Amino acid sequence: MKQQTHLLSDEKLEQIAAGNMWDFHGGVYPIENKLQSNQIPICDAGVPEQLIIGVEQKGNIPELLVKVGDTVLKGQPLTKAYGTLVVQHASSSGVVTAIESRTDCHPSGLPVLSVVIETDGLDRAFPHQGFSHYREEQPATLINAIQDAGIIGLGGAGFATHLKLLNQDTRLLIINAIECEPYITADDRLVQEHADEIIEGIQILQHILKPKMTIFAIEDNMPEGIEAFKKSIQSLPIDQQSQILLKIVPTRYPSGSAKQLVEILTGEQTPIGKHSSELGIIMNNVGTAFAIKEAIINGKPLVSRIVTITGEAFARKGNASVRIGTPIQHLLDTYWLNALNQQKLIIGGPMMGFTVNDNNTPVTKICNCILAPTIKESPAPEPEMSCIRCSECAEVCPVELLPQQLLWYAQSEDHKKLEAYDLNACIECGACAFVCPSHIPLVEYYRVAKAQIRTAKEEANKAAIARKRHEDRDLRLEKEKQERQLKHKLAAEKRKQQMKENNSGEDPLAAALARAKAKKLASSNTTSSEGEGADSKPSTQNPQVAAAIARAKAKKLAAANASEESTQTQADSKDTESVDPKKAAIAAAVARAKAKKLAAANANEASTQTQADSENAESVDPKKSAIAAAVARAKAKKLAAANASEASTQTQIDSKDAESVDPKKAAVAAAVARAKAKKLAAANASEASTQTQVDSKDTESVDPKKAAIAAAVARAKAKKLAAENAKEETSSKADNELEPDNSEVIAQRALRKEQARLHKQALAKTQATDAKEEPITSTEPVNDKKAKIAAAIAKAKAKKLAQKDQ
Amino acid sequence: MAFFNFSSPHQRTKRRTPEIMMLVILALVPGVLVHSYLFGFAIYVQILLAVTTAVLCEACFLKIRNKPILISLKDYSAVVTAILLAISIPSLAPWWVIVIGTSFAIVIVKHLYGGLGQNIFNPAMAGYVVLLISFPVQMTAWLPIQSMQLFPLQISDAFNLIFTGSNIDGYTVTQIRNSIDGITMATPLETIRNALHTGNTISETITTSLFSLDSLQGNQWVNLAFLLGGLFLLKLRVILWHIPIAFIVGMTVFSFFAFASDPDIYSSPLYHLFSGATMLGAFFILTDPVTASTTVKGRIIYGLLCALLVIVIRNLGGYPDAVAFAVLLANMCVPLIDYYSKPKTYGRRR
Repeated sequence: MKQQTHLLSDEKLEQIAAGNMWDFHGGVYPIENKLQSNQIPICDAGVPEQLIIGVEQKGNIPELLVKVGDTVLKGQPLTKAYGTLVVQHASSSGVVTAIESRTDCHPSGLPVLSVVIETDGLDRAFPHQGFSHYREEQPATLINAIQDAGIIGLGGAGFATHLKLLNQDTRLLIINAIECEPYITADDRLVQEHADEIIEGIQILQHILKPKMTIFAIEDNMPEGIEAFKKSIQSLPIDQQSQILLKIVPTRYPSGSAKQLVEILTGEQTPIGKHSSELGIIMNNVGTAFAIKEAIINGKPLVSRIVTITGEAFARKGNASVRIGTPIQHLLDTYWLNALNQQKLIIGGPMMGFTVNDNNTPVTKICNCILAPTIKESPAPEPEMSCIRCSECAEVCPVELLPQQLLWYAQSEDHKKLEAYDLNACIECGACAFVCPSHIPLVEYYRVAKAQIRTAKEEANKAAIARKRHEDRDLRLEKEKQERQLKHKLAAEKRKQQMKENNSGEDPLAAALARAKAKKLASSNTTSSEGEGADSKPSTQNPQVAAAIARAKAKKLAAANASEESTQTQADSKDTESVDPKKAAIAAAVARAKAKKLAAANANEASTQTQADSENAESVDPKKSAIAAAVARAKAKKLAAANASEASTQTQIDSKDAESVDPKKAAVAAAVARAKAKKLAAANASEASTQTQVDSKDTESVDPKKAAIAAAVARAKAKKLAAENAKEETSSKADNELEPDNSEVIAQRALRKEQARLHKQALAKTQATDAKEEPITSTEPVNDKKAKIAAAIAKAKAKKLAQKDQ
Repeated sequence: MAFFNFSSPHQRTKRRTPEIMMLVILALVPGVLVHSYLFGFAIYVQILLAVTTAVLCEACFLKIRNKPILISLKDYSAVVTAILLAISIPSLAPWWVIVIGTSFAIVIVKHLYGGLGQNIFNPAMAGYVVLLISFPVQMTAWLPIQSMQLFPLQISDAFNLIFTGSNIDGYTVTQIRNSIDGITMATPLETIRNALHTGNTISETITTSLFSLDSLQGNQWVNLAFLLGGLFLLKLRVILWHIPIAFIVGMTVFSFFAFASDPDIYSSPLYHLFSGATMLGAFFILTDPVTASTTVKGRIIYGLLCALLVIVIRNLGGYPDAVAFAVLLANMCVPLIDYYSKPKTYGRRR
């Protein structure tokens, strides 16, 4: 929308066509000094011994196509074109001797990456092909050709031409032949000598841009140029004549400046901070138009430009076609510079040109003049005096700035005020400093202030980025910290959970109690087994019988367990403590899992248990274990069912033991009961050898109590079984070593299984012989041993629990 | 080979600050000549005194402020200030009046504010106001034109009167101020003010033979001479047209309004334009670039503001002339005017 409002209107174009001209604010009339050089035809400055061709463009280093030692021809590309960068070419034939940083033709005098060519003087040309019928080509093709020809704005700013030509909706094309700077006559001579080629170049531009109007703007102090141009126009076909409008602009500095020329020709101002393309205006220098013609029609890349060599310090003056990269010294020699004391060497005109102090500075594409004035022509600046605010500077400023105020703020480095007074709109034309009666180098102040503002902005930017980075880092660290904390928390919870699981859901208190009970049981076992041992001594029983008895007992025990289970449930229901259903369900699931696991583990467990419990448990044991497991499973299932239905009433199994256990334990207890039964069976197997009534009675009477005790013991065992598997049982039998590491446990379990299998086989053999040879002697110590082992196991278990608790 | 480095532009106009000041001094010549022709040579003595004092003060203070003395003295700005002050005060004022005034202008008003280009107030006018307030008697001791003087003055008389208070013959300034018919002379503006106080109308006052013959005539001629000098400055673009034109137009318009409302009390525009320090103010005092507004619009506003203040003070205030007060008051407004009259930079027009 805004874009539309800025574009030149058709009425405006009509006004322009009708011959209207506008004016710009300010401006000055410096002594022109053009006659020294504009009467002499352009000549070739010759091939210097060395060419220094800067390839770096506005800080960008393009891809190089040559390397040191390469032979290059005139017009051979040195770089690849990409994006905004144009191709740089060798401007004469020779050998690349160096690719290094050399002083640039720039006010800063900073070095840029340059290709140094040692010329061979033959000036052999690289073959190029032009477009014989450019009108049949697409604009894009021609624009690419222009980029490949290395054409940039030859007026001064050096803006890449192909970028300008990409503009859409061009209303007005302006060919700028206004050389408002004093002394410079390069464009003047070019128009005088090459008006036809320039017009061809303009027609190419018209073909590319398709403007509604084309203006050729020239200053009224170039009468020969105007004449030559008019003549060339008249030689064109009639229909083409009217396509180029000649505008003769009154001489005033700086009318050649793009913005001021736009104002003169259209009465419009380029919006601040914008390019004239905003108005639909594309401006090209006359030299650029010539170069475009050379590139498109003749296929010649831009390897040389017209440079005005003037100033009274030169014995010879005039305009020369200089190869890009020619060191200035070559021109100083060719044009016989009489260097004086305090000699100034100015690149560009006296108003905006900059001095160089390195005579090896190369001529670049934007170097239009080399001015060597005498002291008289350009005296050293007088001492700066105070500003009297005469406002002369504001009167002449073509941008309508207030230089006197800018000076004030520049001296006080008030960047905010400088920006408020539009310092950045300053085109550095030098008109203010030109008229300043106090000889204040105003432009210099502004350049410094601009640089300071730029630096300050860059620093502020950097600081902002650094601050952002710092803040981001803080944020990241904080996030990481939180994540870490969360991880720690989770890990802690997991650990807690694991610990709980390891303890079969028992808390340390319960574990401690279990330990205590285990000890008690161990002692009671010892005593009882001792007693039993005493009893069993006289009697000798067939292990088979013992096994049968044990089986019966186990069955009975299982039945008892079942009943016990129900009583337990009842006891539970009596219990005041209630557990939430979820927990109960979980517990049930856990119990189920455990039961399964136990069942699975039974095979080896049985063998281990045979080891653990007694060597004479014999082959009955596995079977019994299986039964017990089945019972436990059934119990667990039942319990789970019970849990599901009677979750609220589900409580600790062993309330009578004054032990607070969660329902999980009920299942565990079932397993435990099974284990205990197993053990009892084993014990009974040995006991059965005596097979006394007392014994049986004892067993019978003891049963409820024993079952309870056994349940506690078995609980501890089952706990361990569930958590650490049977391996630990074996290992704890040997000693108290403990391996909580899971992987090891698994490995050991595998090993243990194998061992258990082997052991079982061996055991079966030995037991068979044992039973045959020494039934009594073997039984007694076994009995005693068993009790002791049981005690040891209980102790070990207790210890282990204690360790775990830690 | 090493070349010299300079900043662009490498060409400059020939006009420099000292030249501008010299042109201003040159433009004052017609006015001073007419003044001395009409009122005697005493004005030269005053100018001499003022310039000497100004240069001495300037040199002293440049020395104290560690500034290059010769370069700064050569800008002649102190000389211009001194001359303007000298031609503003009564020519037979005692020597110490102009010395005090000039010293104040240079030291307090100019250097204490940072020297040339930094002062807020017009030094000459600030000095004048200080003198007017401090020494009202000496500052109102105006002479009648020479043809009307009872005792025509020679140069030696002027020296004696200024330095000793009496001439060779022993007459005091007061005696000398009496005109042929024994009436103490004042400036025309004062005459009218006094007449108005005594109940006369303006037309009655200015039609008296005395009034039309001496003071008014003399002042008109001096004003015309300053106008001539001013036009010379305009022609050479030493000063820009905005302030003088705005001031003169403003004076005309504002005094016309007053005059139209009551011609008996308020003088005519023409009378205002050619009496008092109107022309001197318009071309030489208001146009002091340092203290005036610096933008085009601002300068016009500044000129109009001064004109308004002058008319208001002349017509309603307690002082017969008002250029000095008006300038000082307008000086105070300059930063504000400058701020709000900033021109639109290229590209901001839309």
